[in-house]
Amino acid sequence: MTDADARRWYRRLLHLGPRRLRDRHADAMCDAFLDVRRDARADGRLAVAGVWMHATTDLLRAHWRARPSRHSRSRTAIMIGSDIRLAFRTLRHQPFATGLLVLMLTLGIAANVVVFSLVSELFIKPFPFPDSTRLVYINEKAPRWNLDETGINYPDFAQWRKAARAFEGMGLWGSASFNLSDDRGAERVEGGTITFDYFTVLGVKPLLGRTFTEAEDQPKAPDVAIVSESMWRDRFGAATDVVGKTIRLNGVPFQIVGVMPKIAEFPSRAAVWLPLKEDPATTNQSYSYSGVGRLKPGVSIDSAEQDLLLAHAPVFDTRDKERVVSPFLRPLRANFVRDFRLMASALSAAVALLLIVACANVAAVMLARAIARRREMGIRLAIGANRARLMRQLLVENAMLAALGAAAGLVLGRWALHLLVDSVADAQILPSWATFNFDWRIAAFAVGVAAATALLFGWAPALHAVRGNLRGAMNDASSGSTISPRGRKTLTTLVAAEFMIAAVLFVGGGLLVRAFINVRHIDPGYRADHALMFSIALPRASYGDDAKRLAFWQSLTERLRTTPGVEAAGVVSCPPLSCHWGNFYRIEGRPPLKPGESNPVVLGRVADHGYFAAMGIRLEAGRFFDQRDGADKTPPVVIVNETFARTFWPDQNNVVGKRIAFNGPDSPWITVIGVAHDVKHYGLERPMRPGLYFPIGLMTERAGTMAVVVRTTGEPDAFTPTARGIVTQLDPTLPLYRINTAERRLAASMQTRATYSWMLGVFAGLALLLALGGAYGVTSYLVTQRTREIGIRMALGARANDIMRAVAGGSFAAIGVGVVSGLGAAVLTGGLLGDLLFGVSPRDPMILSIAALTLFAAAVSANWIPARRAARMNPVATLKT
Amino acid sequence: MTAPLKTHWYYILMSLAGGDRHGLAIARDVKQFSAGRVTLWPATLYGSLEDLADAGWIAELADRDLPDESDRKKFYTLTRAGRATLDAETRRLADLVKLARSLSRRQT
Repeated sequence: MTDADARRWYRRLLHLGPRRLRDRHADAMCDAFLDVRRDARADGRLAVAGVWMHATTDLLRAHWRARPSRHSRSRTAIMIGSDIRLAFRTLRHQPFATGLLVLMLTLGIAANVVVFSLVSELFIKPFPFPDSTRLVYINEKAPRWNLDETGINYPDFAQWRKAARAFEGMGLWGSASFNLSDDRGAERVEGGTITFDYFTVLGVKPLLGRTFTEAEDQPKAPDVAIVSESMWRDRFGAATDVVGKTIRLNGVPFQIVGVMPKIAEFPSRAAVWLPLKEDPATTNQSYSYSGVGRLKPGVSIDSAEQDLLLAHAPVFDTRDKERVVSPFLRPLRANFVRDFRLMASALSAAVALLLIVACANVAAVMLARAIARRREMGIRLAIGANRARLMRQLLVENAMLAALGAAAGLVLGRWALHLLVDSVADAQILPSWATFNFDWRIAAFAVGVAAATALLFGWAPALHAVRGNLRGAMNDASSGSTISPRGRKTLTTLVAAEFMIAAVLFVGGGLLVRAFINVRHIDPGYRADHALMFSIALPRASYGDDAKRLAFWQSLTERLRTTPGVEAAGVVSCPPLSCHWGNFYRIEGRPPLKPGESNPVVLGRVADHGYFAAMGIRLEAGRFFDQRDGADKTPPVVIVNETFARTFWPDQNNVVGKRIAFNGPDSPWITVIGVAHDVKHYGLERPMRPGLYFPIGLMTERAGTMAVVVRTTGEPDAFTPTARGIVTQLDPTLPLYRINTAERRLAASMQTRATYSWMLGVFAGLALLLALGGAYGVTSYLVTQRTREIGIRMALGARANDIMRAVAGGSFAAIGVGVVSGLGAAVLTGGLLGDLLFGVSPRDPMILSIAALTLFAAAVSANWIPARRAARMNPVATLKT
Repeated sequence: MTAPLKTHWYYILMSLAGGDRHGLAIARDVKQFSAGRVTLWPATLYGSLEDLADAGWIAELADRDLPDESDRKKFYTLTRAGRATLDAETRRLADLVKLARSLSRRQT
């Protein structure tokens, strides 16, 4: 940098310092600075940078020293007090404009607070475990079986644990639930089975006692358990001597060895943990666990995955020669927020747009307001008001507006966030580790943006009025003559931009609402009304015998069916929207699968003969089960669903009588006796899988835990006590759990979609409302401004229609351009919503035309009212003022 | 006892005690006799000069006829009051040093 450059830059910097010095000594100060700088150059770049820094602070400090003395500071305080009173009076005298501005800020800030609090909790805030970025989720996948996640097979895991190098540790968990019975009654509790080092990997320390030891995680080790903090508080009254006590799970006593803190209740709300006690030597284990690993410091996910695949290689060589199942990794957090990613980005984009609309709106109304006040400013200057004082007055006024809007926005945002989180809490959609607290950083951001807009745009025109020469301002604004075309253009552009963004949001919201309606109209494959569902688990300790289990379910359903008010009752192992039991089958007369040929996994369910009537599942061909099916010495039978029939016999009309068998050389053939209507087992939006039903008698070993479905004539909820009574008569130690109506379960499965569709719909509505308010506010101000012009036009013979056209025409055309370009942008960006749209086209003509009509109607009405007022003015009165 | 003088004011007064100078020359002077430890940054320098002029301890010399080319430079001179202030401050500091020395001698 040459001396001349340095001089130029320092001269600019001088503006940081007090004005008096700048006016009197600018050149000399530059000389003095260059002198210091020259000395420093000998000491290198760093010294020169230091010189600039020192010079800057020097100027700023000079400013501080030049501040008025204490005496005049107290005078300033008095003046600011009067500014506030004056601002308050001004704002109160314009209740409409004030209300409009505050409302816009409120809505924009509130929406941002809500959405960004959600996003921050789900994606930004660290996971509640120490060093959580090193935690990964481990599972296995089998693309050839059409399975993204098979669950982990314990022998595979044992192999990885032995051979993988990139991990500090890895653990497994499986979900489980238990009947907990004590003197206070029977209860169903959620829990997990875990490897001994699971909590060590997560990095969670016990509150009391200890975690499991390796010896406790061996087959036939003594029965020990760890309980959660909430169970410790609820069941044991937070007693410190809980360690060593016993707890009866499924009728078996377990010794408590530790209490885990709340964050350990992960990934679901587990209340009790047991050691996994798996033996890697056992063959043919199921794929059912999930894994968590802690990477060594500095190891990337990709290299860890390579390492894991390498460790997995011996499994390919021995058990899985076709290389069907292979492990994969994913960041732990990503695994639990996958479902929310798209939704969160859509919502964030929507609120960001909303905040822009709100700010544009505030800007437009502020500008219009300031332009309208140029005359006031001119007069005040003319009678001797101090310019600085005037600026401060405006600053106070705008700051008050911003503060009001911010306060109301924060209150509303907090309230809306609580409302939202509470409303979805029951459905257990949001992960349990997430605590949706009000985030102050986000609040500060939203308030900052809104306040900056209000101050900037409130001030800029005022600056113009105050700075410009007085005579010009007075002339310009004197008797309410029309504002300059440039000013008007700025205003209409702002309004047009608002309508453009509103159009984008409106179309986005409309598409999602339409998609939601489509999803709701999907046939679930069963009748959700008048059906009560609950689950019962038969503990092995007292129901170890197959016949005993079968007898229990038979007598339970018999009793239910004969109870008045019950139309049908049945049991099933996996009711819709719950568990999964997958297997592979051979089809009779079909050659065995070649290696590499894909074989879709089939969903298996075990049901009794009453289930289909109770659930309201339709029969497509053949027959349903009767009481004899599955009994000893009867031929094995199965009912398949339509997708199964289509997948395995694509060219056959009648599949009844065909035979299938479990994969394996000597498994017996099972005859298809019926085809049931497809049930959307995994959720309305999920694709169908082939599925089948076995009679309960054939699969008694899988009938330990069943869901009971009761079709009632009356309100299903009202039947709960009766059902509980019947179960208690049979066995008082058995708790009923997951008690719910089929209708509510179905609604809960759609809750996520309902929530974000609803939120986006609200944002679209808000954007429209804001745009409407902005357009109305701006046109009203413009009309007020043009009073004199309109008077002259009328005096010269213009008719009401001409006036209205003149007043509204310009802004209406601008809004039209805004809406059309907004619709175009919506069509282009709509595809980004992807799966959220559930097949609704971003060009959906109905949504686009509704949006166009609504926005144009809004534009017309926003312009119509002020235009009409203009046309009705009395020309004589307007010219006299 | 008079209130202590701001250090950079004292330095400026000392510099002007050696003759009339303009701002830049004062800054160089101060740097030199503080052995480079004290840098009078521009705003501090000219702010102090303004303050000292307001206090009546120095005076700005208008249109002083010097052979120097820099006629736009403002020259400053020490007033009688300024010299008195400088002397008072020097005495105050000398007394202070004397006191400190005697105390430390008594302790050792």
